Amino acid sequence: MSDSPDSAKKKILLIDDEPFITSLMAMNLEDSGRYEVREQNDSLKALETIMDFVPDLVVLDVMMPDLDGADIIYRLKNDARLKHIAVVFHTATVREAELHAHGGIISGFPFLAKPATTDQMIEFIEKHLPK
Amino acid sequence: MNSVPPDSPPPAQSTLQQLEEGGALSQFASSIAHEVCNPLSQIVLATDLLAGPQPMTDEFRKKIITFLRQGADRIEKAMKSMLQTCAPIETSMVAEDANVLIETALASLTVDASVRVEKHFASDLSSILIDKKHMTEAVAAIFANALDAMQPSGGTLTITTYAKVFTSSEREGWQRQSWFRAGDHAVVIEIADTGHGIHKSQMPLIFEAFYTTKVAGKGAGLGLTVAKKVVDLHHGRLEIDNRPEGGVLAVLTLKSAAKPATFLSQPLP
Ligand SMILES: Nc1ncnc2c1ncn2[C@@H]1O[C@H](COP(=O)(O)OP(=O)(O)OP(=O)(O)O)[C@@H](O)[C@H]1O
Ligand SMILES: [Mg+2]
Repeated sequence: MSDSPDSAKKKILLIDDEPFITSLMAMNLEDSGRYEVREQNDSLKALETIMDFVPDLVVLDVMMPDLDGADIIYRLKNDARLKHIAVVFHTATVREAELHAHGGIISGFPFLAKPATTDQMIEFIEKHLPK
Repeated sequence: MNSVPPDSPPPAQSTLQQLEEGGALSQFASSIAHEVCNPLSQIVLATDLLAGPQPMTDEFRKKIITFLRQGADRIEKAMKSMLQTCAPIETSMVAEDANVLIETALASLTVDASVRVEKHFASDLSSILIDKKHMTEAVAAIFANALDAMQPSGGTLTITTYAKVFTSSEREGWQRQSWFRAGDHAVVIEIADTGHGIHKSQMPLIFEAFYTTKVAGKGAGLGLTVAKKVVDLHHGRLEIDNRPEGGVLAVLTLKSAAKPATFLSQPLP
């Protein structure tokens, strides 16, 4: 596998408090040869990492300690420098009611339910990557 | 509401039923989803990785095994906890010495060498009527939390027991059956730790099912939920608060048995 940054590769940032999940997702996505992936397990560093990495797409968990997915999306969408960045949710919380919680902030965003296979994840990412 | 004679046993009720009454059932459902879907996700993705292009080195194999095993263990733990929460607790009461209860609970745990255990046991305690298995687990859950809170740097776990006579009626919280009346004899078990304590805003949440601040896979957030339920079934009281000098103090108050343990534990002729 080549480590040189490839401009053809899309940049994907994974934000989830579970390091096992982000590292598995990262390895699988990198194996596909299509993405440059970065992981962040500390929700408090989410915005900083987005600013620093400038991903094409952020895959965001919902239930996290400190800042949850809704807090992060709220801050992101209220930051002029970051609000254009595409975000999708990857979550174990599948119930409608949960998605409408947090003032409906989450409900407008696409989400993929855990557990999802790598193929499902790639299909989902491709569908929501900005063209 | 019907009045319940103070000493009649409460109807067997599962924690799940109690949660439903408290309107916390949807919270419970989403917590289960979280505790099962995340490790499931891990297993699915580890299988994908195995099917992927990476060469099967020893290191890679070990990694995959860890992902799969940890995921399966976590699901097993979640399912066990869930079953425990849903099942009504059946009790069989025997007279026991509170100091023995503490020793048994302590012996079920591994105490890190960095933790000093100090015991201040009263020697004149009357016995308590308890379901040994469940009360031992409840006390062990309180100890486990205290020990966790003192990691990694260690600290002191202080366990104190003493007798108490209630001078006035005291009715406790949301459970109508857990109360003490004037003249009741009780045994108090105090468990103090020197750990990181509980954030004030989190205090109302600690007895909630699946509330945990521990890393994924470490705590299920059910220790205190179940402990509180067991204590309620004994018409006892469990109070948890931060100590002014740091750390947490848990106070467990249990009614004394009418007769001394030696008498009650005699086999019937
Ligand atoms: N002695 C203590 N010191 C600091 N925090 C505590 C203490 N006891 C409880 N807590 C807090 O309360 C939370 C809930 O405790 P509880 O025992 O119900 O669940 P848990 O310990 O996280 O998981 P489990 O007991 O199911 O393994 C803990 O995660 C912790 O944040
Ligand atoms: Mg616990």
